[in-house]
Amino acid sequence: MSESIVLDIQNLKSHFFTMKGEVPAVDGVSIQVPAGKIIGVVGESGCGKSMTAMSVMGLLRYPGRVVGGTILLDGRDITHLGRKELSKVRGNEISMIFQEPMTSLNPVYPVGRQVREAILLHQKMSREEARKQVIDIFRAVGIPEPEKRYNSYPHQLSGGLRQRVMIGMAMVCRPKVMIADEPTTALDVTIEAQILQLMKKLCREQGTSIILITHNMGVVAEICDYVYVMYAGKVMEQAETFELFGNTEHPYTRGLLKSIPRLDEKPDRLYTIEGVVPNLLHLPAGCSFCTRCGEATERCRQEKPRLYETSGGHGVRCFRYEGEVCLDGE
Amino acid sequence: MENKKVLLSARNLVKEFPIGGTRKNPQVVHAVTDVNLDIFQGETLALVGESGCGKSTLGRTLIRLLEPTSGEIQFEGKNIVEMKEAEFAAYRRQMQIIFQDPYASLNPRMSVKEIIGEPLTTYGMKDKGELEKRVRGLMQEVGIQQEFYNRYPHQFSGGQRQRIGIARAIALNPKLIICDEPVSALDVSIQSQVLNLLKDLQEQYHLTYLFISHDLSVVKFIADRVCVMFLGMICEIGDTDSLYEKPLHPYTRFLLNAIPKADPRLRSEDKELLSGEIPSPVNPPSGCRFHTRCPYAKEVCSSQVPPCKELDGRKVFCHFPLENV
Repeated sequence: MSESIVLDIQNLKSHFFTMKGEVPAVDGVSIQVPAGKIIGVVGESGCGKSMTAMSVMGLLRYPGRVVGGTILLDGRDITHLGRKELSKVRGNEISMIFQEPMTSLNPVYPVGRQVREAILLHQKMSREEARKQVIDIFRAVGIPEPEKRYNSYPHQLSGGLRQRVMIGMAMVCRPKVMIADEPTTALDVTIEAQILQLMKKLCREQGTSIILITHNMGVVAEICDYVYVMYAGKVMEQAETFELFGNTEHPYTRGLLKSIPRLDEKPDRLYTIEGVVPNLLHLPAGCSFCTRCGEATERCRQEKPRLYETSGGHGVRCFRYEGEVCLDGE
Repeated sequence: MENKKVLLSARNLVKEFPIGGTRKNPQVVHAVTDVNLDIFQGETLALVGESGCGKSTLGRTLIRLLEPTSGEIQFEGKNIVEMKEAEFAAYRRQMQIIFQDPYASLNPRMSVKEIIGEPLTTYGMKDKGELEKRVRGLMQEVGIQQEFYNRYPHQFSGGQRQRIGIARAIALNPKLIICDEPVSALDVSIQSQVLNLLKDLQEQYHLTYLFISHDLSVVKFIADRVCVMFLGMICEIGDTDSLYEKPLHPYTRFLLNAIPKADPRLRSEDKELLSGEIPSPVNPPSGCRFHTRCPYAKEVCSSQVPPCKELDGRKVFCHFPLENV
C-alpha cells in the first residue's frame, strides 16, 4: 500500500479489567487506513472488532482501557488525548455510526437540529448557515424532502431514513475517517443495499475513508477494498478483498467462507467450524483458533503464531505460512 | 416431493390488529390479507420478506398462537379455527414453534430439564424416570452435553440456547414446526451448525417446516419451496430452484439482487436497486401493494388487486409477471 495512510493503528491493545480477571478484548491489532478507501473488519461476536473501533474513538469505558499501542490520525497520536482535545477531533476529523440508529439519536430533538449541533460544535458558522448545510447533506445522503425532514423527530422516520440521518451527521464535517459499526445489520436487504451504495458514493466523492465493521462476508465482498479478519482479539488474516476471497489462506477464514450458504450452489449439508469461540479469559496457550482448527498441530497448541506476510499485503496468522516478514508490528 | 399430501392449508386468511382511531373510523394494521397457502407433508416451505411484511404474524396465526380475524385453516383436513380449546389441544401438540431470539424465548428461572420437560408434563407424562430419560434423549438429539441437565439458560451461548429451543419444539413429536427466524441471531459459524441440525432432524422425524426468514441465502439452502410476501400479501410461491433462477414477480427479483454476495467478482457498479421505503400497513396502497415501488407498474396495478397466475408450476400475483415484460 503506497497510498497515504490517514489512520494508522499500531499494535493496539485494549483490555478489560473485570472481577474474573484481565480480558484481552483487543490484543495487538494493527490496521492501516489509506485515504479514500473502504476497509472491512470482519469477525464473529466477541472477536474485538467493535472494541477496536471504540478504542480509536476514545469511547472505551471502565473497566476497559487502552493498555498499549498507538493510534495515529494523519500522523498525530490520538491514543491518550484528554477529553477536551478529543472532542475537537471526534465528530470533526473522525466520526462513527452505530448499528441501531434509534438508540443513537436523541428522541426529544428534531433530527435536523441534532445534525446542526455537530456543525456548530466544530465550525464557526451562524445557525442559519448551518441549517442550510444540514439540508445539503440530507440531500446528499438521499433523504427525500430534506426541508421537511429537518424538523422530524427520530420516531417519525423509518429505520433506513434514520441510518441516513446518522450517516449525514457523521459526514457533515467532512471527516477524514468514518467508522461504521454494523451500519446495515438492523436494516432490510433492499434498504441495506441502498445504504451500502450510499457509503460507497460518499467515499468516492468526498474522499472520506471508511472502516466498515461487520459480521457479514457478503457486505465486505460488496464494497470493501481491503479486509481484516479478526478472531479472539487478533487479526487472523488481512488482504485486499479480491486476494482474500480468491486466495483464502487462514483455516478460520476458509471455514467462515465455506459455512455461509450461497446462492449459486445447494449442498446437502453446510460446512461447519466445530466448537465455539474460546473464552477470552482462558485462551489456549498457542494459536487462539487451535481448539477449533482441523489442521492444528502440536506446535499450534504451544506457540503463538505471528502474522506472516505471504504476498504483497496479504498477512496470515498461521504457522503453515511462516516466513521472514511479519505484518503485526510486535 | 413424492407425496403431495397437504398438511396444513390456509384459505382467505386475514389477520388485522386494531390500533385505535375513532369508533366511526377505526384504524387497523393489515398484517395478513387474504392469504391462501398450502404446506405439504415433509417439505420445508420458506416464508420470506422484509420486516413488517407479516411473515411472522402469518406463521403464528397458522398455528393459532394468534387468532385469525377471518378465514379458514385446515390441519389434516380439519378446520382448526372454529375448534374449542379442549379439542384443539390434540392438534396443538402437533404444531410447535422455534423463536428467533434464543435469549428471550427461554425462561431464565427454569433449568434445561424443566424447559425441555415442560411440554411433556403438560401433555401428561407423569413418571419422573421416564421424563428424565426422554429429556436426556432429546438433549443428545440436539447436541447438548448430558452434564448440562440442571443448568440455566444464562450459562449457555446463543447457539446452545437455540438447540434447547429446538429440543423443546420436537419433544412432543410434532408434525409441523414453525421456525421463526431461528438462525438470524446467531454467528455465521454457529448458524451453519444449527441449520445442519434442523435438516438432520427433519430427515429423522419426517418433520414439516415453515421456515420464516429474511435471509435468502439461508432459505436457498434449507427450503424446498419459497413463498415471498410483501406487506401482508403473497407475491410469489414456487420451487426454490426455479424461483431463484428466474423470479417472476418484480419484487422477488429485487430482493435477490439486493443480497450482498460473498464474492467480490460478482460486484456490479450499477445494480438495479429498489428505491423508496416500505409503505405503511395501516394504509396499504390500493391494487397491487407493491405498485408504489415497482418500476414496471402501470395504471391497472394501482386499481386492481392482481389475480393469481400459474406460470411454470409457480403461482405469481402480478398483473405483468416478468416473463411478459
